[in-house]
Amino acid sequence: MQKILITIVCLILIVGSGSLASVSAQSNELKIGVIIPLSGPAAVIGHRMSCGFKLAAEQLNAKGGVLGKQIKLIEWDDMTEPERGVTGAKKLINTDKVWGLIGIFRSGVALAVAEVAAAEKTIYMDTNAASPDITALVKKDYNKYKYIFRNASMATNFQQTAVPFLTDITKAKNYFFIAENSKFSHDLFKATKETYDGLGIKCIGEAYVDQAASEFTGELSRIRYSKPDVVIASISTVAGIAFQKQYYDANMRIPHINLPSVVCAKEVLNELGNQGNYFTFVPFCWDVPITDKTVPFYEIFIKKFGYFPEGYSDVRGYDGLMILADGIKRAGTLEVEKVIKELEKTDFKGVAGRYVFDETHQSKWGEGYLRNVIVQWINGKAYVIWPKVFANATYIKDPR
Amino acid sequence: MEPSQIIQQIVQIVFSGIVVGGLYSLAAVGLTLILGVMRVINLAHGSFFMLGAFATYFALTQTKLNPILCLVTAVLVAVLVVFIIAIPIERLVIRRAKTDLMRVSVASFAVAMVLEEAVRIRWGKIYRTLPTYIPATTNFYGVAFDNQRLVASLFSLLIIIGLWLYIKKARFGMAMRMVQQDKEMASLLGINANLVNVMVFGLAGALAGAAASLLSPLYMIYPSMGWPILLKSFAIVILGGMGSVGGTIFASYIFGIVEIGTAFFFGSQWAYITVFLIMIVILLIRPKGFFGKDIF
Repeated sequence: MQKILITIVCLILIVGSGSLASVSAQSNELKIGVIIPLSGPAAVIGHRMSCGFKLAAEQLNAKGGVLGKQIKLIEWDDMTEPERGVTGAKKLINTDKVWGLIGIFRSGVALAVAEVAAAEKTIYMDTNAASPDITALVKKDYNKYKYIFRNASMATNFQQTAVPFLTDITKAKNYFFIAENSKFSHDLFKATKETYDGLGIKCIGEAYVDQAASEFTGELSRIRYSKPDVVIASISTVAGIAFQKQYYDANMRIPHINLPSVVCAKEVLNELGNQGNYFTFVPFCWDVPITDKTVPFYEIFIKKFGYFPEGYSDVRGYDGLMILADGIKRAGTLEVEKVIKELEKTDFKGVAGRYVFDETHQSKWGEGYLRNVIVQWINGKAYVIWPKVFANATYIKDPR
Repeated sequence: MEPSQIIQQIVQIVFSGIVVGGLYSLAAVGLTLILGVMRVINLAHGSFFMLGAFATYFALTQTKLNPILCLVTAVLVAVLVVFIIAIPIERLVIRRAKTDLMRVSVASFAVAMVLEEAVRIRWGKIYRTLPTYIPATTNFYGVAFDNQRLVASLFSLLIIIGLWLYIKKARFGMAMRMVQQDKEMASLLGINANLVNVMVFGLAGALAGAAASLLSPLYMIYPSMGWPILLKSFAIVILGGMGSVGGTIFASYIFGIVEIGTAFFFGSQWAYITVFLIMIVILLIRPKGFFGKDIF
């Protein structure tokens, strides 16, 4: 009898401690796994993404968190390598017990992590990676991949940002495309060619460079000899800085438009000095009143982090975490299935614009949703040249 | 395309390649000196290049000089800073590990990581750039030259000619050649081989620093900028012949032409593959490189 009583007490203690453990696990924290490049050529972008997430988490926590839980961000350096992304996702989910995943810069990494998120039934909010293949998974197999959402823009949207520069501003008949050698860039070129072929604007050359390249003489010679009306550049990593320097020094005099990259940041352009002159780029966000949240966000961000937001990695990171928090609040629970249903109904006014997800869980692009501006940098100042509603200058071609 | 345009493009590629190769040659010559005289592989060579770039950046952003003085100041500062840093590294790390080739390689790699991380912690968050000393381009019958690169490449050639004359004519240069040929005999003849080694190491670092001062206005300055140049320098040294200064210079120009030509016709993502494939072929056909001696 005594032995039976001791056994029952032991069993109660074991089960009880398990319950206590789960209670302590259901603590005041909502852990979110952040997968970003913190080293390597894309480290600058990872740092900006981190700033966006941190600001969002800070503001949410200051208002009591999400469903009474304080957000805790756990970062993992993917080094832009899919294997590291997968390792990190598994570690964050299984060891750190995060509720959801957010971030990722490289589409190759995002595609790999999407498989992990789907297998583990964990929501992943893609705030940066742009390959159409990511949200195409949701269409391909909704039940398996419904956990994937993207508030980042797609490659097709990236190339649409430059369209007004070619059609309205420079009235180009042809272009040369140069980008870093990545999946995103190849997807981007396909989308670019399709769009401009439809507009009767011909591609007369394409070139891909290593993401850590520093020598562009060959490419610049090729561009010079091709004589395009416009150069569309999408070198998103630090190689873009060297490219801009050498483009300017080589006196290319061909109008060029730069898709969002490391260069498209005030502190980088200030560092370039004269070599940043006439640099034209298409930030997804700028300190103009895109929504009533935009200008206050820029003021707070600059005060906190000491730099002017680049407008994509930081802003979409911020908005992505806010959208996730909003979805959880509307669901009123952390149950993943219920949160997914609410996220699908998202109509959220963020810093970059209005977020509404389509049937593939991709945030919509276009008038009334998310758009970009076109900015030109001259003598240390940024001038918005498009759209007209925000423009304070017109485009100036390099006069040298 | 008309024949005249094709000729123009080829001339552009060859001349641009020679100019670019001339810039790489300084860094590569430093590496070949270490390989030839000290018989070790220095994986910290790229970090010396990086230190030279940072030294150049801080020196020039504090002064306002005319372009030529800028160039001269940049080279002198970079040379001095890296030389002073390289000497204790040879004395405290390389010399102690020198009994074993693998140990030296690992030790030099560790030194490279320490230098890189130290710079990253202290200065690393922003990617720095320098303006070009000599802006604008020169157009010669349709072939365009970036003035900065042209002048920097000529400067690089002057430094190498000076180095060559020094090795050929100066007493220390002769001592270097004697240690390279037969270290034990040189010691028996009263030459302090350890002193020669430490000075060669410092000199190689100084050459990397000089290369950085000429190249950094063209590129960005950041803590891990040394690794691509280390890779290119190794390829050049192997092509030219380990320990052969003349071979290294020749291989630098070939490397530059192949790099620019590949980027022009196929895209720069093929440049490394092309260069290293050529290196493999050369190693199979002629293991000593174009002009080198079989050291290992």
